[in-house]
Amino acid sequence: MTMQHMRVRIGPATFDIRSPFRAPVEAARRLYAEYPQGSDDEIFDFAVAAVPTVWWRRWYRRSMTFRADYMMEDIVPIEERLGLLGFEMAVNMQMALGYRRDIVLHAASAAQGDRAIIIVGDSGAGKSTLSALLSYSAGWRHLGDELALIAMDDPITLKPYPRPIGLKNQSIAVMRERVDGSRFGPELTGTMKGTVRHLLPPAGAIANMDVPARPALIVSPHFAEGVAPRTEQMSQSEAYMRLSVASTNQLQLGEPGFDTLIRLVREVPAYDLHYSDSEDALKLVADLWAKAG
Amino acid sequence: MANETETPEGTSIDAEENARVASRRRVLKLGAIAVPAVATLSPSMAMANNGGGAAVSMMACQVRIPSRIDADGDVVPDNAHVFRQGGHWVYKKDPNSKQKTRVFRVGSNFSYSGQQIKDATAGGVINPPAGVGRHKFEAHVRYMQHVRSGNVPGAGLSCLVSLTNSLNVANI
Amino acid sequence: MSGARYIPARADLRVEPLEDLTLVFHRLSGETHILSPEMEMMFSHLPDAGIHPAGLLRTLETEYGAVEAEDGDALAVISQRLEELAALGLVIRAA
Repeated sequence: MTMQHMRVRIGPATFDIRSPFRAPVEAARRLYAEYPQGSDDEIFDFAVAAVPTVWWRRWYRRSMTFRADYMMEDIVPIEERLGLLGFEMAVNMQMALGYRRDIVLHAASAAQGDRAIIIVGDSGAGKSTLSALLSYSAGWRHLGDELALIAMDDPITLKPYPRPIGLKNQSIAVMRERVDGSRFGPELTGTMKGTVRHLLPPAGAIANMDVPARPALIVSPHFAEGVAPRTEQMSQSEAYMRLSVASTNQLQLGEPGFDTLIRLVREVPAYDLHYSDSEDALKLVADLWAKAG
Repeated sequence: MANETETPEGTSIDAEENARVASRRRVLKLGAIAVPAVATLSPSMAMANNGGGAAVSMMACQVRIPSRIDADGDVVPDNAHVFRQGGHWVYKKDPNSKQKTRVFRVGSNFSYSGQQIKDATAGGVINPPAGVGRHKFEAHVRYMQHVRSGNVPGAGLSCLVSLTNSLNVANI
Repeated sequence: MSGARYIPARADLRVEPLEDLTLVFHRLSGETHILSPEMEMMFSHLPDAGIHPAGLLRTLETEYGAVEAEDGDALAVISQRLEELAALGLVIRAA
């Protein structure tokens, strides 16, 4: 069988994406057209393959399953039309579980100048939306919507990992009002997370993906209907615990991982944000950012 | 500080001595034996599920269950008339039919942890968590299956995604 | 007399007090322990040569004047806490 494949570099990692299914590889090629494309003789960090669930599924009721070095055992097979989503999930999984050069945080991040905000929180708390709003409505440089890479250097820096922003459900309309349709990937309906649509970061974010920034503010968004906007500062140890648990590899990184997180929570203030409206969220961030000066 | 105005020369010594006496008089209160005094973040715990910290937080995640779920795993609408019959809560799911469907009620902030769900559905067999009846738990599993397949907007989706296999339970 | 002596395993540890709680990184296990203020206070009062629970109680009484436990027996709480620290490898229990 002929394998379709492509290489793409996102921040510090190069991925090889391959499949006997033509459509999802082509969808990935379109989505990643603005990213540096690796060449075939280059070394890549992670390979991700989409293969038929069973051999005849290549032709009949096509569905695929994903193969890569790092996978959760219980990822379900995916219909062919959702292949792009599967690639995105598998690529994230490689970074989350396999990448070891920096601390990988389950967090969004954005920068103004050389100073950055880290947005931590569970899936569904509003990370992706808030980071998309910051970069498209408030002039921030998008660093990433899902994984933040914290270099264990002194001073601590954040490496951009600006993959396409995975917007879900209501957030798609929120961003569609503000951003031209050409920046969006195809609409993927009926996924495990509802409707998903990828939004490319602004071109500048992709062009500057090798330019690090220094963390200056940590926020944890909590979106809930009808709550009054407010912020609460976290204690240092609470921030430490939240970040350690939000990291997919910090506990495996030994003393350097411990040392970096300790320095981070000592140097950078962390807040919980409560809001019911994206404009309020932007305002809370702007106020805290001014204070973090 | 009141000392300062009265005897400026002796101030620093007095203040120091006062502080020392005060600290000696302090009673150190220790907590009860049973209260844990150390929390541990362990790399082995994180590795156990092939998933780094992500797996831990997924296992520690919560799936919230709406307060009224029927036997099919559907959310009972707010305006539905739920009443008692034969010792069970029931309602007419289809107002034009005589058929009644059983309703399972829980408190307003009821949730399962990822670990509870994993344990309760291990090996494709339902073994409800302590304090939850079999029929109620089966209804809740059906509800989670609906949420997972994207038919219902619900809390804790990322948690459910990580538990996908656990919810493929036979015989319900 | 009162059984075991407890020696802090300071060479294996990196202790980092934050504003509110103290974190301890244990190099041998790679574990991070978050100590309650009470636990931190006991740990920081362990002399390098080690001490018996009764000795630690005396040290704390000298420092604070009186030591009381919520459920009555301060010595029992101190013994228990030292055992917890030993189980985690933060102190070594010498016979």
